[in-house]
Amino acid sequence: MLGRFSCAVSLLLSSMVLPAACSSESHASRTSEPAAAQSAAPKTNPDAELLVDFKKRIDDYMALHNKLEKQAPPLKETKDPAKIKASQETLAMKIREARKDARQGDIFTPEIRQLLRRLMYPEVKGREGRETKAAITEESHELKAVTLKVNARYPDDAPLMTVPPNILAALPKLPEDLEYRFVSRTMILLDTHANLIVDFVPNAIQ
Amino acid sequence: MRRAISTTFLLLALVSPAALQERLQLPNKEGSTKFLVIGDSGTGGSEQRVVANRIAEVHKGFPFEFAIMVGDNLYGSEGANDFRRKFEEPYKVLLDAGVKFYAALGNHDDPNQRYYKNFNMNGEKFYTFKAPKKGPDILGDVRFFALDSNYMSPEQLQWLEKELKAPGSGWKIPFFHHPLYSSGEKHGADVALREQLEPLFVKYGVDVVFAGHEHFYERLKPQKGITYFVTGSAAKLRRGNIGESGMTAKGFDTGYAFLIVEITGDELYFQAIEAGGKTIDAGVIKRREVVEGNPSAKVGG
Repeated sequence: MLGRFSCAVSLLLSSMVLPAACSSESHASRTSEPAAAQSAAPKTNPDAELLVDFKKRIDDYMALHNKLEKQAPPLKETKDPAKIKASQETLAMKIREARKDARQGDIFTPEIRQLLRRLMYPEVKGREGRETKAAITEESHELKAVTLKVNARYPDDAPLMTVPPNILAALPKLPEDLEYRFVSRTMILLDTHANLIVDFVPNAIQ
Repeated sequence: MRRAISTTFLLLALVSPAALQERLQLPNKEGSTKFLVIGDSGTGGSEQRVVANRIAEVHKGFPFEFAIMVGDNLYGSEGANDFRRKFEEPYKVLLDAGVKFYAALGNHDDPNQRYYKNFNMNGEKFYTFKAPKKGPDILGDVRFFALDSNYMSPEQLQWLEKELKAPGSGWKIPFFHHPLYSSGEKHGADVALREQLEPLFVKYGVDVVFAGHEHFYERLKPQKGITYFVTGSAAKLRRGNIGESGMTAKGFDTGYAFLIVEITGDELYFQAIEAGGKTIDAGVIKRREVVEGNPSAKVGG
């Protein structure tokens, strides 16, 4: 499980030319190319390309987040919870303004969505995946208040669904202020400082 | 509801410290590590206040220095008023007495609670701290590990292993929200989490684990040598929810409850008390020795 995670991370860190050992799932979505072209260029792993693209989109978002965070009241330890709330709400407002044209799929593009679904699938399939799936959807009935929309606030009165460790191990690592979360079978990208939904993947688990 | 609160105040007024001392089933030794365990506490409702008042009363006779919170520290909204109503006011007596609260995050908690000073999380979702020692006598070399069981990332697991294997800890006590073992019919055990954490707990000599999430009290029969407590009824209650699992050493799902603990040397004493003041469970757990050089091999217990 952790091995697959390491593999995914190494895909991000290494060059685009990959050993076959890390690419067991990589050929399914690749369309075939002429034999001559294949022999002329080094083999590239399409999942690695997608992971690099995903990382770039995350990095771009975090660059904006970090820039706007400097304009908000600092989030630091305090006895006054109002200061925590003020920092959260100010940052959320600034991100909404800056990303007013953001749409679903800006970060989770259709190709990245497919990749993430594929990475999670082994963890939720069959009898062995039942516990994981059950953990993700356990309290879905309490999530009616969640609006699945980019830039929507994650409501205070909705619990945050547990993300099972095997799912987190299967997915690419995120920076500290971003988390994968689930709203029933939809996976959201949550900015935890701003408490905002950044993007989401419908039907993330099958 | 108002009448219930008034009745409780009256009952508390009638309980003398001497009577409480009689009911206390812990050694209450000077220099020992004493602490409180509460879970699923942050409703701001009358039940939380009744339990909090009972805890304050117990604190008079058993002066624990700190409390661990196993998550769901604040239900619902988390504005400044909520922190006041769901935490600061109910536990005012304890806070005024200098009791420190160490929180773990539950699924109803905003991760930004880690910046709230009174939860002593130092801005971290998962962290460790050592129980304060009184004087040179080491009656309890105790280290706690607050975990974020909502989001058990590979980084957190790596951190935990590194910290668990660090030398110098006698007792190693993890606490977090989702129970690895539970007889609850609502949630039950978190098996995926157990697969990740249990091998580390076994390998590095953990003896006791505290969790919540289930709204009742349960002490499980030792699993692979580890005693698991579920303490999620400090303000919420799921009546009659403890099922027949064959794993329950003691269960209580008909009232609100909390746990007080005392560690002295290699013995951990515990006493679970319900809101009315009645003891519902008590006992002692002996720390198993870890054979030097081979942390996975244990003797005793």
